[in-house]
Amino acid sequence: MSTSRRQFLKRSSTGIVAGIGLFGIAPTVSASPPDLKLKTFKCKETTTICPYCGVGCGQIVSARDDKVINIEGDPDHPINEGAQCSKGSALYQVANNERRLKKVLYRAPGSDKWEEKDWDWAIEEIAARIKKTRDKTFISKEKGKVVNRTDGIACLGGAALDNEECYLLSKTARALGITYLEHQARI
Amino acid sequence: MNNNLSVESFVQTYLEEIGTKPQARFVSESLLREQVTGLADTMANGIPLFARLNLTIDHSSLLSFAKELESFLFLNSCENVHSTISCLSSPQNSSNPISYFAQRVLKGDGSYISTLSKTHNIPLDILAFFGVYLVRPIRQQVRKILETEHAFSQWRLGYCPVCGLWPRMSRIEPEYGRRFLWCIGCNGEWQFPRLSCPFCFEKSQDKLGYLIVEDWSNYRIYTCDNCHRYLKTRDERQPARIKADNFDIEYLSTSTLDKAATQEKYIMDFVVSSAFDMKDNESARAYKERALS
Repeated sequence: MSTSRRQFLKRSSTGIVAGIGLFGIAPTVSASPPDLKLKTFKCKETTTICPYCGVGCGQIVSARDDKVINIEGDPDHPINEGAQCSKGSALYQVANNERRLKKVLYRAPGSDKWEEKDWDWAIEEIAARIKKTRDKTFISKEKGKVVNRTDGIACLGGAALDNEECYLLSKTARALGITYLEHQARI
Repeated sequence: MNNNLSVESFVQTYLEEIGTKPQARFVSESLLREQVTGLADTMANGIPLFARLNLTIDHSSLLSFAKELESFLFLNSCENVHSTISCLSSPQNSSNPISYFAQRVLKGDGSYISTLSKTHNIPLDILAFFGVYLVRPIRQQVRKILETEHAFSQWRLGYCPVCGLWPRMSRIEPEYGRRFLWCIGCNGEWQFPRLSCPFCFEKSQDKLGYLIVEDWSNYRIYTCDNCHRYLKTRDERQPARIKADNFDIEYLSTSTLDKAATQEKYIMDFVVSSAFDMKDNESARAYKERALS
């Protein structure tokens, strides 16, 4: 007869739960007043894969109140068994780093200073420059054959992009006629 | 209760003096070694060693040790334990009540201990403490033999491979962050996955997590929202708050963490009870199937 989880747990909880009395001898080193409510923080651990190279090391992300508080190698992952390279070890800083940029900074050609810009301006400007470069360098035909490419733009993907983002990026690049299409993981 | 001696000093003294004395060898080493070697294969099926071990305990050695332990408890904390030995009952056919008591503890018969406590009005936690530390030398002896004869490296179940008891604490080692569970029965440890509940094998990360108690940042209390059990864990990557040379002292000195866990409505099983019914191989197989799924 198979054992259900409830039956199994019932059998394993024979007798009385030990509770906080442990063995009934009051500890002395760390006793706290009996009625004092202790302040506790609930944390979660989640497994993930390092976003960098193709090795795919396992990692554990600890979070408290939806904020990442630690990232470490997963000791139970068969690939890395808890070890991490220098990049994986520093991954925490991708999530939390006071030096991380929070605003768009633009340095105009020939300028020696950074100016803060808003996202609307930045996206419009990027789109305009891509179009300008593409129009300037677009090759429709080469040696009588239709090629429809631009040699003036290269696209480099990064490890922080997930699979879906990489797919969209490569589709967009090909649609624009970009043939210099690379990714950091291949290097 | 007379707290002349702190609980930490009590356990430290026990471990240093009583547990290593010659009379703590209650079982013939050669006979034990023969049995243990023959039973090592049962562990491959998820059955802890003591489920199959049949020991012949030297009654007079055990009785002498039991009296010493009882005196120690009586002098240092627990007046109630003074008549523990005389209160221990046995089935009518048994002429060795203390050996029978020890055998029941070794088999993880928590219900027997509970009944005894009620029948003779001995506080349950004191009787449990007495039982666990009475048979500790035997369990440790068996574990030492197993460590030389058979590696625990492949054991990945939540209960102790030697005693069948649930772990009482665990630690995260500093090099790779591996988790090792600790058994109060035999003072042994074994590796277990970080993101899995030892008590019910829940692996869903939504139901698992840990608590941190303010001012106790080098400890985690791993919790499971499926079975509502918890496990105190020392994080060895953090500076230590308590300088404890062994888990026994640390276990007793960190009752604040137990209080925090019960405050959050988590529970722990009775310390004496086996993790599963040792007579029922089906339980072991079912648990192991869940563990491997």
